[in-house]
Amino acid sequence: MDFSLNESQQMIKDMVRDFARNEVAPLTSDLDKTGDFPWANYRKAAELGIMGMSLPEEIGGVGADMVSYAIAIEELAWASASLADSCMLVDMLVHLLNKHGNDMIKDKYIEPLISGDSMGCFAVTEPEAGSDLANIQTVAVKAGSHWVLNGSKIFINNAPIADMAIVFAVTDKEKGSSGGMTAFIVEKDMPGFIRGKAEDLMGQRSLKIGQLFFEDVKVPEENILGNIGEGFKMAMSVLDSGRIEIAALALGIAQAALDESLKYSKERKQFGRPIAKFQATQWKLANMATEIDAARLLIHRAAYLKDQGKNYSKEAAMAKLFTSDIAVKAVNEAVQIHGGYGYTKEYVVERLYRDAKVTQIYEGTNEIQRLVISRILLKD
Amino acid sequence: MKVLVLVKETFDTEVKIVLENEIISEKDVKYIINPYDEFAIEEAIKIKEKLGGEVILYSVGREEASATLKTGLAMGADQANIIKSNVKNSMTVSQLLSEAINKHDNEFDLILAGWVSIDDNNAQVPGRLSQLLNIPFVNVVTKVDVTGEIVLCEREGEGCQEIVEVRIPAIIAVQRGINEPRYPTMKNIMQAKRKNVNLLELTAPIDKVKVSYQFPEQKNKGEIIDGSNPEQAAKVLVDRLKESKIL
Ligand SMILES: Cc1cc2nc3c(=O)[nH]c(=O)nc-3n(C[C@H](O)[C@H](O)[C@H](O)COP(=O)(O)OP(=O)(O)OC[C@H]3O[C@@H](n4cnc5c(N)ncnc54)[C@H](O)[C@@H]3O)c2cc1C
Repeated sequence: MDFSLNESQQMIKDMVRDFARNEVAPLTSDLDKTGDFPWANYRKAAELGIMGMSLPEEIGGVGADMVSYAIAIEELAWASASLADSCMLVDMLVHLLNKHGNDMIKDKYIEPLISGDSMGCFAVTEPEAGSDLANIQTVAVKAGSHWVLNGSKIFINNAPIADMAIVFAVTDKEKGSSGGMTAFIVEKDMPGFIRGKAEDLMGQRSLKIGQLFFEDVKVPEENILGNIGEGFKMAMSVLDSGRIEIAALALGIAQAALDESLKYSKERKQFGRPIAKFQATQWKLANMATEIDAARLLIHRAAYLKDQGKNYSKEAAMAKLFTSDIAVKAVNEAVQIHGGYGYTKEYVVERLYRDAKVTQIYEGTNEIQRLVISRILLKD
Repeated sequence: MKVLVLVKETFDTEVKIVLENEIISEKDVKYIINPYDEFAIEEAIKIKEKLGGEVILYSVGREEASATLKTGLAMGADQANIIKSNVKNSMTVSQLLSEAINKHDNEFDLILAGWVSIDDNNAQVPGRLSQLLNIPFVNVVTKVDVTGEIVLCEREGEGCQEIVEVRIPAIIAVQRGINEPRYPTMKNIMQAKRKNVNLLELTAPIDKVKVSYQFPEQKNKGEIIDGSNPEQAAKVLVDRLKESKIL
């Protein structure tokens, strides 16, 4: 058993860390206040190949292993969880396009997404279908060589700024999630496709999350991604890997909370000594560090299993569940260690506190993760 | 244009340094490329981008430094050579470099290096090497402009800007401010994985210099005198100055 990173994993970690700390971190606080999308660093991340790093080299990716990818996400999220999320979305979209797309789809959409010139989104969630994804109501009906889409989506990352969307719709109501759901590629200029405004988020405020509306949108047959009826399977197929990624993102937030707390507790003096001299503070720090390490090991194990081509659904769900829970705990303790100062926007931990929460919600709520884990445990 | 870059592996000064028997313990050390040498690598890659050619890194040090040198390859250098040796003194290091360069790359056009390394601050290797190779040396350079056989080097003089014109082959040692070293891209990192770092074994010249390390003596912490009552504060200050025999 070897717990050390190999040469290229270490180099990737160093590079992303330098980029995150020197270029990303200085802008994060302002972007959090304005809620603007981090365009400059998004493009730089594309140039450095952080976007697309998990994708094959033939299509302009880097072909890095999952462990490297998890490490890169952690380092990036340390400085900005929003930016990490935005970069991860590209890999997920392109992965789907590359695996299921016809030649037209691959030629047209992949390169602009990886280079950061075009923005995409992945649209499943609806007002009536959150955890219960199988209950989506958006429908697509065939009309000659086209399909006509009607319905709406909610909480879609990049929706307000998207040039294209992978949209999941019901094509056969009878069959529902087992064979009745199909993925379509919708472009922003298609008549009847309306992008909603960005939500005013609690945390990760540089994300542009919004609604999408489809009013008789005519989508050409060739814009079907994969086979008709395979949409649900396709949406599920990216979740396992996505859970490792969200876990890594939560880990970056937790590590930042610990780093800020270590720094602050050595500087802040009360009763004539740094608060780090009080056992109550020391125990908080020790607990945070222990849980962060445990989370990192869970994440790296899940990533390793994926790299080995083994089953990793349970391990990915465990990593996501545990890391997002300990991240929320860590940011809570970090604010506590900062006292009243941690409750102001002057201190990074105030943002971390807000940024962490959603990691327990998206990519499957933590209740759903427990469902996934227990189902695998109880399977005969 | 064939540009050689001298690269020293050094420890990250952000990490706490522990001494064991006057030698720096390797247990918790994180190794990096000496930051001044990173400027030199960046400059060499820029020259290559402008004029074509190749960039070759030379380092004297541990075999394991290959991991560190790969960062240089990931920035865009073509080749890296490590002269395996544990000598630390600048004289012997320069001799080893000179011997290796004469043997493997004696038709080079330029040698670039950082003017100093952040660990021992000796700033001697580029100068000594220029003597051994018998080529001109320009030190602490903040701008390099290569045209044909001529290199224009800018240096900060005392209240002036010096421009030194030098003919290749030459050694140029660079100073902070010359450029912003690039981040290695993911693609280059993956390519660097496939590039080899060559290990050169030379018979070391007899090393007459013993190098050991000690921490500087701990300075006493300063005392902050409460200034809310100036009269009182002045009195305490004078007392302290008398106590320490300054007055
Ligand atoms: C910032 C952000 C970005 C997002 N990005 C995207 C995106 O890009 N694309 C996309 O399609 N979606 C996206 N989502 C949607 C996200 O995936 C959903 O919010 C999430 O799946 C939960 O659905 P819901 O909000 O409808 O909550 P609900 O499903 O209504 O859940 C409410 C509560 O009930 C619990 N619950 C529900 N069912 C069960 C059960 N069976 N057992 C126990 N507890 C249960 C949940 O765990 C939760 O605590 C995003 C959401 C956010 C906040």
